Amino acid sequence: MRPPGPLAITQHTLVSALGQGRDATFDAMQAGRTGLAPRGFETADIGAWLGVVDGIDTLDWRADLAAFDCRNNRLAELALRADGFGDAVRRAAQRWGAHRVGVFLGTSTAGILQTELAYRRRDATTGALPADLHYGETHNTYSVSRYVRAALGLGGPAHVVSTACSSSAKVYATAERMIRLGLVDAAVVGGVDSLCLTTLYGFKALELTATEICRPWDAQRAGLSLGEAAALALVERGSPAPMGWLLGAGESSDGHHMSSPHPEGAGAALAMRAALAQAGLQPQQVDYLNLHGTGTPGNDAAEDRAVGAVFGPSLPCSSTKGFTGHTLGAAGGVEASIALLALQHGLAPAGLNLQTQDPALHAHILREPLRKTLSVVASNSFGFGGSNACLVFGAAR
Amino acid sequence: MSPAAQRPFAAPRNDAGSDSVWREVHARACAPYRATSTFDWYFARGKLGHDPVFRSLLESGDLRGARVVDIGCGRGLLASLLQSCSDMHRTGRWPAAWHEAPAVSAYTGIDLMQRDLRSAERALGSLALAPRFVCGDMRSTALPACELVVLLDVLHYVDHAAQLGVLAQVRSALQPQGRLLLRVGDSSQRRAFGFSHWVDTAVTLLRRRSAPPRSGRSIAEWTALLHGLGFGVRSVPMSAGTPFANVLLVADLR
Amino acid sequence: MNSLSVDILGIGLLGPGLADWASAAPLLREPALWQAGATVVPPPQRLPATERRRAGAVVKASIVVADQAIAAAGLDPAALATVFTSSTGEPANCHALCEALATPERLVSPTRFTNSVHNAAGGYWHIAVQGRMPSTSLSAFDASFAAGLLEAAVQAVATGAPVLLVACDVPYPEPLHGKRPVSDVFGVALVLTPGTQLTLALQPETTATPCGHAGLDAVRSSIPAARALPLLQALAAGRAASIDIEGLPGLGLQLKIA
Repeated sequence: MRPPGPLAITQHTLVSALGQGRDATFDAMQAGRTGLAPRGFETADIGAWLGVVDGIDTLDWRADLAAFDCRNNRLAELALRADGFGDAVRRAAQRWGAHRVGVFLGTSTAGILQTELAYRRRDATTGALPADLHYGETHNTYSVSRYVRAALGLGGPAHVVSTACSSSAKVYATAERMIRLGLVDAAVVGGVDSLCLTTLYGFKALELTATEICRPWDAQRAGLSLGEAAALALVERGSPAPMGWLLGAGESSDGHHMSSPHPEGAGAALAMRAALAQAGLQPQQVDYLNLHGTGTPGNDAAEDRAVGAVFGPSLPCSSTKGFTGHTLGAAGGVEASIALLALQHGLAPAGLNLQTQDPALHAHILREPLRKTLSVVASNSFGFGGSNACLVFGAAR
Repeated sequence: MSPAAQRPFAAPRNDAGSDSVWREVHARACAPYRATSTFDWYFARGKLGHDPVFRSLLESGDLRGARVVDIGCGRGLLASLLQSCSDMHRTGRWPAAWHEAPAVSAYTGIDLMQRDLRSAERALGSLALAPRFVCGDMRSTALPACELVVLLDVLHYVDHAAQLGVLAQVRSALQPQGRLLLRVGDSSQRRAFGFSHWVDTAVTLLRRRSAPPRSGRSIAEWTALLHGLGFGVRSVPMSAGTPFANVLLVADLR
Repeated sequence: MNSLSVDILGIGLLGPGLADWASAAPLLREPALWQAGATVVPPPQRLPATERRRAGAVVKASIVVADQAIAAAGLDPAALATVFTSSTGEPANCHALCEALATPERLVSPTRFTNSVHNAAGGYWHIAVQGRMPSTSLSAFDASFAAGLLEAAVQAVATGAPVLLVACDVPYPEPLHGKRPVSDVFGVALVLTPGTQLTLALQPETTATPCGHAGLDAVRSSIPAARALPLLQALAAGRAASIDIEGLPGLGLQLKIA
């Protein structure tokens, strides 16, 4: 076994309701400006605030990738175009060889919206789906990695991780192991999840969505606000000028329940401790923790206990889902990018929409952005079905 | 009487005072890598922070011997650690409650990985300890005369016969009352880890007709091997924080 | 380096004419004895009775093969990290949700939504065994078996600890079946640990090794998880072998059994 080591992050970007690219995201972080709005999506209005990405429908699309055309892959394409990310990956492919660059992305619903729409256009006699539905390139869980791999001309190992909200954090750990073992030299990691009817009506049926904007850690918190996003990062062996470092990744399962977290957050604590251990760090060496913080009564209570058990009560924390919404399969990647921006700029974002902190919750939630040099930032991502991940990032120096 | 004299064989308690000493040693040992590359600094910080063997060796006082040979030295973390201990002792910062700081006069590190040794030389070349780094295969590299040999997690890379060869060479290089610190996985415990029993049925895949010989041994096997070479052996569990059944063997030449 | 090596401690299997590994191994050695027939998914004893009834085909089949592999390896299931891989997930839920969403009422069942997540099988397994070790659920379309095997082997070698791999695919109901034909339920589970018996290597794409039997090849090519069949044949025969498994466009996975 080769022991884990730090992994360089050469480039990263994100597209969300806050806008396209790192600068747009950081501006919002600084200003405390949310991307959530009370609105519907497509033909659905579930009476909630949503984080919707603009500019998806007007995107030009490559003719040779026509079969891939769907909202989810368009969102991925926006991210490839942001901050020169796609070009950075092409350069890595030239440096290492296309077959030495992997693609490991997270998603929950991929391009299922295409199928949802297609079910409205079934053949009247046979019930068949229309010919223009390209299942493998859009709906299928693997489609977003397949798209990125094809669009960038990559030829290394690839897959999609779909473990609900921990998906695009877990892929960082996958890439670190593959690079460490010498199977690839670089990888595109992150995640893409777009709004669709399954998500909107599904979460509504579970009564997990709030009717007003989400309020993580608030005494009156009533549920999550859904969002969509694409967050991508290029991790690479021996990168000369990285933007930041992955120091440790911790993963665990709750083994408890399919849609409620373990009340004591035991699995979550395991993941945080494992990440710290891999990084060789003590809890007090972490400067800021980006919480999973969905704003549901259950998650925040369980996470608060876990964070308290691992870090104690004084670690500066916040959930940024009040900015972007809960972007599900992209959440891990979005919040990894936010962690890297915090390290780069020396600014930990505030927890938005917090009026009165729940007295039963003891984490130190930032009410204003924290401006100071940050050396180590951690990020939590805990998913449905009990899959937990924690990532620990170090500054570029 | 000093606390150390009152309980001469007890390791320091794992308390806040002990923690802060370790943190200082750790920070000093990582510092030289900060100047050479961020990767090396993060790597050193992670490895020294995560692997329980380094702190354990300092707290137990088992790092004893004037001339040290470190086989599989990597980036030279042990050399940097030894220098930090020496600096803290010289400036009066080594706690009286701890065992004596290691007093090393010469360090030779041997590794196969040229790149790791370059990192070691860049970071540690100007240490007062003047560590010497040699690029070579442990099966064939000559070992200088020494009082302490450190072999952490390297013997499993070679087969049984080569392991014997390396240990015989170590035996020859060690001066009277010399010590070998050998960390290995306990292959019999690896079975025990999460394993309740083997089920060897005709249709499962446990036939190993032509597979190459395994390189793992049980602790009993390692101990017998070392006894045969003239060592007295004491074992220290070293699995904390790892999924392995690791054991540190402290082997002293009789 | 682009290769790594593992040992296989236990195997589970469920497919057309293949009831479990113990009875299937002789059939894989002598394919003339194998008879095609619909896969029969027994109720997994590990799930509590209510879940056993409610769980969909992919969850049931996954747990059945996982249990076989764990029993063969003689391991504590809670001690193993897991890798679940599937091309299809649970398509019956997906179909039901899309049908409901195409109606004016759009009534979505919360349970069906929860069970539609790709990691449902993994979630249920860890709940059933009370296991807190890490779990992943992944997909790579037709290359899902190769991707899962690679990920599980990487985890085993990187952590030094055993890993349970479960690959399972199930047919789609119409009208999705027309877009993505999968002929039957197929599940395979392997318990991997660092070792020397099986070496995996990435290589440029080549033709996948066939089963060498028309019926088994039909299974192999019509169910993504059944891309594992040539490997299972070699394991059943207990012979050294080199097998090419379908990977992604431009990339193949070569398996060498010592």
